[in-house]
Amino acid sequence: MDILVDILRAVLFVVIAYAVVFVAALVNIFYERRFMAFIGDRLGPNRTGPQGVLQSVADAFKMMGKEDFRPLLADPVLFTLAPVTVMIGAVSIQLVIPYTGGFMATSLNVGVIFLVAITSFTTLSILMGGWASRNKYSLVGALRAAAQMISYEIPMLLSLLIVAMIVGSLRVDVIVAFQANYEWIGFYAPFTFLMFYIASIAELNRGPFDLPESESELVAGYATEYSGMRFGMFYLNEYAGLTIMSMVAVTLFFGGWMGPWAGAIQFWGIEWIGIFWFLAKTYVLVSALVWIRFSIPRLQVDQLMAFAWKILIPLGLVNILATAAIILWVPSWKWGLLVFGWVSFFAFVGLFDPILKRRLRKQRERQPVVSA
Amino acid sequence: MPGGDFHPWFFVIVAAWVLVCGLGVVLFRKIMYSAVSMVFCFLGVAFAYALLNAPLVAIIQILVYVGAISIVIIFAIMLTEVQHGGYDLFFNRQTAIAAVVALVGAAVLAFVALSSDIGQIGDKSLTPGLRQLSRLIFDRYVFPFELVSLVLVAAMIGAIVLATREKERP
Repeated sequence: MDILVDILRAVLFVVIAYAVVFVAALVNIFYERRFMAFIGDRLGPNRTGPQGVLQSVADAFKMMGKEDFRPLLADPVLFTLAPVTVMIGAVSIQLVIPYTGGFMATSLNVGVIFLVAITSFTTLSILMGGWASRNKYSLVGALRAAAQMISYEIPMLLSLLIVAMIVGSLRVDVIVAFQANYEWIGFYAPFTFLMFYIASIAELNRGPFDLPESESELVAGYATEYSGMRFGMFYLNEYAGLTIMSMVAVTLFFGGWMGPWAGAIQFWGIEWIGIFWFLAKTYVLVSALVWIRFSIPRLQVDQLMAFAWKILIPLGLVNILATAAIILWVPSWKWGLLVFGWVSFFAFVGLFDPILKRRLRKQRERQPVVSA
Repeated sequence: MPGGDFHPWFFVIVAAWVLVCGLGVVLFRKIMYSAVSMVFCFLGVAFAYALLNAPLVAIIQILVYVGAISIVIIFAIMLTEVQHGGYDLFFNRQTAIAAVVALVGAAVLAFVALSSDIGQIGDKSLTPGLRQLSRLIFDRYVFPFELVSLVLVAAMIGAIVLATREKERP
């Protein structure tokens, strides 16, 4: 009987995790289109259903009804395998995310490392899809995506290490419990959060880091040859990633599901109001992601790589050293972290733009731009 | 639950998965298929670690082998492959020698595993906690650990030196 309970739990998890992914993707697509329209002073999709809320559903049905097309020279096995496996990351990352008190699939004692490790699956699927398409645009898009996702995994891991150092545990639920009474890690380590947030945007392949599918250069990047529901899987995964990444950020930096009266309504051992706070915080971060996408122009490949390897990773290493020194040697280390975190945050935000502009100016003085 | 007791059938499933994927690595004629089935083989090994009550090793297996090493291998294949022809496995002529070596290796492993006294699967006393493990790595064995990373740096510098073309003189 025990094995039946285990299997039932596993099935329940898979159903809930896939439901979260699909619903989040459909909601996010609609939300982003309306938000983008608001930023661009337009109306956006507002015809299908009240205020256009059914637009995503209609698009999904259209996509499912499309012809299942595969290019003649494409590799048949890998071309199919790529969209099938692309969601493994987004679904299984939810294994260690606590939605609310008492509502978590498993408390893994290496939860934080699991968060990073499992996202590498998406890279693999994108590589497979780009290679199997037998199209140079797809290949270049896939190569860009893989290089970018591998590079930005490092600053992400470095920033997660700081969270683990502050809490003293790699268990995700312990990290949430540490942030009770509004002692959010995002307040103690705002610079670390900033680094995590930048790295997570790059991991999601979103603007300003959306080079893998930059329309003006690569048609649609790794997804060029895909259509119908196979393209739909890549598309859904990308938009579900918005919510999933923001959920991770909220869990690790902003107190997870905790909030006022989070435990007011309890039955079946689950604190139901917590879900509301969790989703509310998550969608604040999703909105920020959308806002960033439509505010900052796309980077070049060399700028992207230089930003990861020459700026984020060295700063992350220095950040780890400083945080470790503060935790070890400063008696009231929480105050020490608070001061260090905000000083480094404002130093980074304030100095980034002037230093970058100065370097660009010097570069131009050395090699004047030659127009064709 | 990782780290709990598990039904023996789970191990059979995982072992079959690893074996099938391993055979796929050797037998596929297309090198890309071999690489992808190697990824799934690594994944199966990670499942085996998770069953054997070592979640840390399982996650590191995914992070390092699935997330980094196999992606680098696939990268290399994608960038070097020729459109027509050179896309088959070219070292398939050593099948006989490889089979003998693999059989001997498997026999030695099986002999060691059967004759030694390494305890039961999933025995909690065998698997050290995260804290003990990190104490060993970063305290007691920190020098050999850092030495290993030095080897990696040397390999990386060598690769970069070999790969860079000489700059044209201005």
